[in-house]
Amino acid sequence: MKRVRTEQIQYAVTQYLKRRQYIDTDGSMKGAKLSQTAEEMAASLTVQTESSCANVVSAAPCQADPQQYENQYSRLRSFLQEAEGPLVKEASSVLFPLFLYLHLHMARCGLKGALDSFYSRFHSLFQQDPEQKAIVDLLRGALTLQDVTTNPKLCALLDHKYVVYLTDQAYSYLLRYLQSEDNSAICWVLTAHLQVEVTAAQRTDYQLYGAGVGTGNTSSSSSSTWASVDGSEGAERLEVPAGLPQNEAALENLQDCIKRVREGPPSLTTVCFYAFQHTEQLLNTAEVSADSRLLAAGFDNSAVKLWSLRARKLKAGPHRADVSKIRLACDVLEEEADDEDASGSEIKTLRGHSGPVYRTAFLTDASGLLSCSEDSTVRYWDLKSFTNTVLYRGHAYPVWDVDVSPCSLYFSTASHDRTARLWSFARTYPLRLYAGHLSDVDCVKFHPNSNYIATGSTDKTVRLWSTQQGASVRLFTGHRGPVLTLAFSPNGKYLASAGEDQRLKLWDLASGGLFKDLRGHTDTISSLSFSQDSSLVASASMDNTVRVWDIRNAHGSAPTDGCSSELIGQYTGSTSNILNVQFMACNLLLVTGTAMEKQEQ
Amino acid sequence: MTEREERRFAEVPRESVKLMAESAGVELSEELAGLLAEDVCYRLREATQNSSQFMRHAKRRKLSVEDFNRALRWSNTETVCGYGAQDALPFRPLKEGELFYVEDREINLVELALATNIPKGCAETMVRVHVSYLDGKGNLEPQGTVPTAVQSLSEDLLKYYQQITRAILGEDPHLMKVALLDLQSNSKIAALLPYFVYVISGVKSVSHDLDQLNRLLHMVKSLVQNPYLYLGSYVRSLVSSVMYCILEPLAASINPLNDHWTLRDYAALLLSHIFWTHGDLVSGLYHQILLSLQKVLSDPVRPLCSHYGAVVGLHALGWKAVERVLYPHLPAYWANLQAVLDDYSVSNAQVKADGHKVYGAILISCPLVLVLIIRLTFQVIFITSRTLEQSIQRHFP
Repeated sequence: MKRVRTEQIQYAVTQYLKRRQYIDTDGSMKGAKLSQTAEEMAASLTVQTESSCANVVSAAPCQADPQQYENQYSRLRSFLQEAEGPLVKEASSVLFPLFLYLHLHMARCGLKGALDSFYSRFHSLFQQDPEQKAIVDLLRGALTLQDVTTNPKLCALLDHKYVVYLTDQAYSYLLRYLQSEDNSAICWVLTAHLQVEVTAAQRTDYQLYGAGVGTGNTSSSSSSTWASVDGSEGAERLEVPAGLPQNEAALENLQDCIKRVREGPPSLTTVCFYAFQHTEQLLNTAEVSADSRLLAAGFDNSAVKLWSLRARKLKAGPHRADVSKIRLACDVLEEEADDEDASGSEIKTLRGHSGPVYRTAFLTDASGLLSCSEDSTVRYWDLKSFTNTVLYRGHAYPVWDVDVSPCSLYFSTASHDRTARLWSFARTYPLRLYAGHLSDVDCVKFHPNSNYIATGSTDKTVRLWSTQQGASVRLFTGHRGPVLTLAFSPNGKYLASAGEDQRLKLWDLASGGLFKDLRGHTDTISSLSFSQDSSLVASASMDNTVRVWDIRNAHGSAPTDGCSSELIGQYTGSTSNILNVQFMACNLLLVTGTAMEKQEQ
Repeated sequence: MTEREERRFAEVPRESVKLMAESAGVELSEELAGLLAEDVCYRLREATQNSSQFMRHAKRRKLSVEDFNRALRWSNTETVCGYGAQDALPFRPLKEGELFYVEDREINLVELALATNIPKGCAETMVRVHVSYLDGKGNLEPQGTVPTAVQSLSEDLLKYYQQITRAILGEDPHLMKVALLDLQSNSKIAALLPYFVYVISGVKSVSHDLDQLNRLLHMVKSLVQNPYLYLGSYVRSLVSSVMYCILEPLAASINPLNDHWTLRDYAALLLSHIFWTHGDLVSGLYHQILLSLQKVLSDPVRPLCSHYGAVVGLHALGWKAVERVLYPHLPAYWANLQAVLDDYSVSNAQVKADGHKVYGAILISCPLVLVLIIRLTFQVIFITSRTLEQSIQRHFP
């Protein structure tokens, strides 16, 4: 059946061809193959590619007729001179190497007569470029094979290929010309001695907002018009200068720019001040959680109050201990609390202590709050149900400070009994005791790697303890008054301490020595904070100012009133007391304090 | 400081001790009085020190009677009562000699109790927010004014802005990577934030060039992932640019060979990323996003690629968004989509291909919704069977 079909097809084809009056159809159809095996197809394809036009160039033999070199070269040159277009310039870059190698080839083949006329005709083209001129002068002396072999530079040129960079459009342009006529000599030189690096066509300009303004090769200084910034709408159109930088130079340029910005002065800082009003002098401490959603404040009347800083109100989650229901998996979807529930409130009051609350500390994920108080206990408040779930007992005297470790694994407390203690959340008794201070311990902080604890005391010293061993590893003296606040830099290198002597001291932890001593405040410093990249320190003091210092470089203005030169800014608000300062991002500083109370008659 | 070294502690003389002992009815010898005087001094100093600690930790400057009483309590001593009123103690001098005494005034309690002017109770503590700006050069801007950032932009920052934008939008991929990496980790570029946001808002003018759109989205990603940068109200602008990439029928999408679908997927992922990390910064952002997605979905005039973008965006925002927006709309939408998919005419081929994309997106985002449907039907069945049971029991006890 198959054979019949093939014959039928053949017949139909011949008929068609006959109708269309194609001559000599019978003969050609005899050998027509209607199917091809894969091997045959591969073989025919290989033959095609190997013998295609592109390979004509490489297969051309050495030219016997000396005159041809000159003729072909002059034809190429006149073609490139007369032609127009953007590719001509690029293609013309191939003229010099062609001249060079044609000359050398002729010299090697001993075609002295043709060589002389070739040289005298074309050597004047290459007098502009000093390098080319030098080589051309060399060539003047190279007329025979001996000259070529004795001259080391010419030998080097012959041994290595000359690299020419062309875009693929220019290259195909050149090839088309070469294929149009008999340019076998040039083709041979092209393949034997030249290496053409074909690069993809590149855009020479890009304009994001351009209205067709040609930006060709503008100079690197741009003309920019900047308008004032208002709200979120930024500056006017900036003309980004175009031009293709070479890769390495551009990279170096970019990296240099980056380095200068990184080492430059710090940028604009937004200060967000949370002012408490009507506190009746009862407010002791205030802190904002790390995700800036909650604000906790501790009062003298033993209350801890929570404010929500976002639009979402504080709503206690459902009680888990409902034993009358059995929960199935499909019930989980129902439990997601709806956003607009009216039973939430903006403030939650947490009562449980029996003495003034001196410090509150959020856990890193803001799921819980710790508060320490004069009643010598530390309480843990669960922020889903806003209840006190754990009571930690261990101290026998008022607890002044509490700090949570970076991954919320431990917390530590500082107390009037001259010790600091380490606790874990799972036990209500302390795990370690750090004793060594001569007077009560006023503040305590964890190092970012949780391996060290720093404590500051009324005995004017700061001590660094190993968390696990409980031994004191460093003693920093130098303060002239009680040390009331500490802060570690996030990169773990520095410890900042400040207190009643109005000085901010920065200690280098690796060497154990004083790194910087910053002056400027005029009253007790009550709070410190480092920025996330460890380059800025903010300090709040009872003189109602918040000062920001740059500890990496002295970018601040010259000291005017005895301040250290690291000061870069000072914020004075209408406050009667500043309680706490926290860096939320490198350009956002949160300050909490009591607003100025209006004088009553 | 020499002042501190020369400071002497207050001393209680022996005579005063003897006087106090006499008034208590005890006779004291000289030596005893001396020892007692020293001890009294020490105790006073200790009590003062402790009370100053309470004052310090309460962040006050004025020592109050309450602090002193607390110190006494912790030393197991009786507290001193009768002091601590708000008004100052009136001291009256005696005419004979340098003695001052506290005047004991008599207060008529009945009058006080029946007085008509009741003092106002203290108001509830509340918190107010003020925002202010601190310039890099140390000049404080007064509260409430927006900083004129122009003057304070240094040469270096300007050059940085130009170089980075050129690198990201230019040809060299390595340069682009370096630039994006730096945008993600540089802590000093907060002043340039408005300018970068402006560049990103240029998405609207390059809707024909998918490559540029991709690069601008990369820029958004870097800025959002920078841990040192506080985006503030610029989140809105960034979100609107990203939404443009998701929802707009781009000029590039006219040519079916252009893959604008992956661009939309990437933009949707970016939207969810922005929302989950920075969504709190702007109130009502979630609802705004949902509203715009819903508008697109319910508008049949819009091309199917916009619908695809809306569905992918909802999926990226979480199953709650899908449930709230897509599920109610699904029956009506499904009918239209089926009509498109059933039309086998040649002119509809491209639209049909787009329709298949939307179909696929809906399938991916709806499994939980299907679970909901299944659960609801089961609940309905359960409830009806229970009521049937109860009614049967009632009627046929």
